[in-house]
Amino acid sequence: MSSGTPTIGTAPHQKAADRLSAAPARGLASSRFADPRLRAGLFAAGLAALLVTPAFGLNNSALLLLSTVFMWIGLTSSWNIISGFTGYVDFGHGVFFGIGGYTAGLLVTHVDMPFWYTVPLAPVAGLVFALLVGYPLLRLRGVYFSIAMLGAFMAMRELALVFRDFTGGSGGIIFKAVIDRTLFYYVFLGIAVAVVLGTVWLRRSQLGSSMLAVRENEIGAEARGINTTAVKLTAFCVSGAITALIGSLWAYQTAFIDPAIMFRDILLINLALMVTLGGLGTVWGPALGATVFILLRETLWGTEGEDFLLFFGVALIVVVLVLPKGIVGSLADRAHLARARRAGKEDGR
Amino acid sequence: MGQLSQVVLDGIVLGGFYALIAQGLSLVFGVMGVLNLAHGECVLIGAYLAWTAQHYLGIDPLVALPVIMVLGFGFGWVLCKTLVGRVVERPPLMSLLLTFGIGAVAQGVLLRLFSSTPRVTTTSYSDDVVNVFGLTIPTPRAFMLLGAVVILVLTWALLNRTRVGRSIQAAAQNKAAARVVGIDIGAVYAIAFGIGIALVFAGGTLLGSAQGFYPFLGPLLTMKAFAIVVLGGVGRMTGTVLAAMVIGLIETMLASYVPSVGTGLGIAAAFILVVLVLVVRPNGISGGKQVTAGV
Repeated sequence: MSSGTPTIGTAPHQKAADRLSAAPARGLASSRFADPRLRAGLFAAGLAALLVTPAFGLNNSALLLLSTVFMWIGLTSSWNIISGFTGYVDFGHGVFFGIGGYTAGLLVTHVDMPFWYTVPLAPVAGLVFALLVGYPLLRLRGVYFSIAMLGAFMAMRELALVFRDFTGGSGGIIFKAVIDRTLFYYVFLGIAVAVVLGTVWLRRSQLGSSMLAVRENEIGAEARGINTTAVKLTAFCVSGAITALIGSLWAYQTAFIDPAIMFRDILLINLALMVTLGGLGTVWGPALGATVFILLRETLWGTEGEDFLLFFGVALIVVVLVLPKGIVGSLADRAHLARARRAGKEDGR
Repeated sequence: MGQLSQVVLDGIVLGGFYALIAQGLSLVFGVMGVLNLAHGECVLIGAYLAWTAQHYLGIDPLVALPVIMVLGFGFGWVLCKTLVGRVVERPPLMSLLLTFGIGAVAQGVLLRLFSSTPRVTTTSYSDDVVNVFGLTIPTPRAFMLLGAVVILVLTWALLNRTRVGRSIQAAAQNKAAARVVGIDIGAVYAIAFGIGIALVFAGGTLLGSAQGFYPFLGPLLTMKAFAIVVLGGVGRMTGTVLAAMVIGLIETMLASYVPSVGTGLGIAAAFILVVLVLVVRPNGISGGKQVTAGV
């Protein structure tokens, strides 16, 4: 993520694009998955397998595990848009998850709205919040933005706790439960696929390149005529709206919300950990990180024991020190290196 | 009127404590460019150390304070040499993630050792009050203010009147130039981080006898300290102290004038204030300097 001094004659976003084409997408492309048709085929085959999976009589806990994986793929990939692509690392992203859940909860209890009507409104709430908070906060560079978002997260949790007449306070809100694991399996699968494909598209679009340009050299990007405020705000709004949507669905699946679970700290650590593990700012990294992490946690850890904070903390420290670029980033580096070596040999060196 | 001056006094007492912990955050951020997300947890480690000393050994927190500060310096120094120092030169995200992880570990360890039950360090003067011009402060809170003032004055003297302090300032202003004149940047980082942690350990010790604390209080304290640093400007002690007073006053005023919900709104108020200030002055109250400069 280091940005050198801008070279004269090279547009910053171009530079970023060059650099990044060396990273995730083409990093994989250079290896065995060279043929885009092969990759699309593999993706379609995997998706088809996942689509028919519930028909093979999986028990509810297996379905729940898979839909949890899909949910986290959605969360990590949307977090990656603001944190990885624009480089504005949002340490309070859980705020959108909570806003989504509470939008659904409040509409169901106060207006008596049928739940599925609230689903499109949750991302709207996330979007509005992202606009209100993002406009002042996205002017802050680097760490200031990160921790200010942590403040937003904690502030909203406080508000949800304090205005108990409206939000139910720490007593929370209870929904009418719909226990249909298969339904949520497909819902979260749909979201995960949509967000990941959206990321693939974004990475190739002008908008995505502008986001990377903001990350690599914001002043340079601005000098090239990129409206950096609009780009950052777009990334933030999209990211926040998706997370709010997922939050509302999760709330419905759980059938109960309170400030402590909708605005839970562990969500923030999980996001940071999964995305860093997979590769921040890469297209497939967040999905990979989420999958690897949840399956690992499930096999090694079982349920969240009392030492789970300790476990996550240590995992985060280790990942930062040992694998700062994540799995995808490190693989891409290696592929890049190999390609450079080959190119060197062909030059006769 | 009587009530108002009492509220103001309470706010100043609270502000004194905030100034102490915010100064620790500001110093580390100013010198290293690392925003320590484990800051609040470090305050709690100090508090639990004082509690342990009192509970098991019967040592008064004020007596233990210097020792705890030395431990804090050592802890910060080791933390910097082993973990934080490795990510200083890397993108800020890495240090954020790392200190985030350290905070989670600290929280996990504190939970393990002390459970989530709130604790207060009880002392012989726990129930006493001090009268000042007809207003009252509980004695432990009076000591909290007094201790904060003394430690902040000493810190100011250390930073401005000693060779080490000037090296730290030099590193904060210009790392390359500091290296050129022969300052060992790695050592300066470790010392600055050590001083920062010593300050928050002291803050925790003082806080521990003034009010209850529990392992989940950490992020709350980090947030308050951060809000103060943004409002006051990084690396300006007078700014930090003023901003700390503002945050302390707002908090006590909310608690006494906003019925029923006021006490739970500390972070929300601080956050809204930060957002408002940033809308008006994107570079913080101190203005002028770019917040990105990290100095």
